[in-house]
Amino acid sequence: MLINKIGALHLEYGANCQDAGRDLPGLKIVCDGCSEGLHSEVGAKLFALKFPYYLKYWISTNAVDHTFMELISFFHNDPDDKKHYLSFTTLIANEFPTGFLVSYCGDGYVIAQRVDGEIEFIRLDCGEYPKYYIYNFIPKNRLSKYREGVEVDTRWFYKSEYQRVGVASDGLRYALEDDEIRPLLTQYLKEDKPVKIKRLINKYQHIFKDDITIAF
Amino acid sequence: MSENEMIIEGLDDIEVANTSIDDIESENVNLIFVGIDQSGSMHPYVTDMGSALSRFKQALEESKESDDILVARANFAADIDIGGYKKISEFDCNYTAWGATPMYDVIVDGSLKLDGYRTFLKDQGVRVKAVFAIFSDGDDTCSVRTFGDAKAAIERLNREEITTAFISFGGAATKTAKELGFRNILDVASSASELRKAFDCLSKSVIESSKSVVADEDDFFQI
Repeated sequence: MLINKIGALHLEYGANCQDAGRDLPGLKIVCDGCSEGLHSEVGAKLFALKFPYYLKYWISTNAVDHTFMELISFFHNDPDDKKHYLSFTTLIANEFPTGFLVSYCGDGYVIAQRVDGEIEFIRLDCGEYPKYYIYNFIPKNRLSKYREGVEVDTRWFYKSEYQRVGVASDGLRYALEDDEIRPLLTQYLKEDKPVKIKRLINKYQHIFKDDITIAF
Repeated sequence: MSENEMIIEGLDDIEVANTSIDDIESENVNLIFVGIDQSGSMHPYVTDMGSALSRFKQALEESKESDDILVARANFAADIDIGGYKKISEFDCNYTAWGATPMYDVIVDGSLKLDGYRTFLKDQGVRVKAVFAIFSDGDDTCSVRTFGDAKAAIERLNREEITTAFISFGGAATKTAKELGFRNILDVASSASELRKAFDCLSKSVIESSKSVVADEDDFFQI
């Protein structure tokens, strides 16, 4: 399932939804654009489109790098354009015969369904400052943080423990912090009912302040 | 409770009368209200109307948007009979013609029922667009409601960005439709072929309207 919804604050400010996602067999992708990036949704959507192509030839962490190199070619090395278009997190869940590999650069969540059917929400926290892979392609003197570069982190989920793994942007936190919404969301994920999840988000739009994307 | 009343546990009355939320497989729904004049003056076209309604139903059924469309048929003749919003597969294509033309009543009551179900769906998180369409060959003759009531109803629908559309069969109702405030008016001559074209136009307009993100304003019939 793929759910991609604009946050209430984005609506209020007249901003686009800056998340993007993709749900393919064995591959789930979520990209969360930086809210300070003027056009970060552009890069986020392009990454989600292009990444599966490079994954055919490279392992996930290298495929992220190659995808970014292609996206950067649009911007003639202008660091401001790179920041504004390509500042987004990358959250990827890739299925293998024995497990699921989650590769991530930036904050978000893993949604993991255990073999007994129970749903776990695992926070991916990269620290105080947002972490974007594009920082590797911006001159150090133009960065206040992550001047030493950023890496793609990974986590492995064995199929002996988990039957299904997906990823979500950190807009999910609003659902998880709400006592009424969290159990409903959990139930609908278990039941594999994306329409009910979308309606839930629509109904409680005021609670979902940030964009939310779930690929599960 | 009379034997005609039906209670289904777990469903609100509004869901029993229309389509239950659990039977709607989409986040987005297009509500289509079609008010159909069944007054005696339509008698020469009974067979043609039945055929036009069948074509209308078939066109909607075959469209990719069919799952997102719910249609309420309202007949007005000696009295009014407003059905619930149902899947297009349940649309009744039968047609008879007798009685007068309580158009204002069907506009007022139809708009209230549309409001009620639309509000219910939105409260459940469904994104709703709506079209309120009337087909008539003449002016109102016997409503309890007034012209002012009907005009106020159309104004409210327009304000809420519901597409209002009127098919004037034979032209006699065109002036009234404009005065009532319908934003889209299709004026067709009174013949069997024009009748067929009118409902073909309506089905195409409904399908195109269902595809777009925002409601049509005054270009509903321009397909």
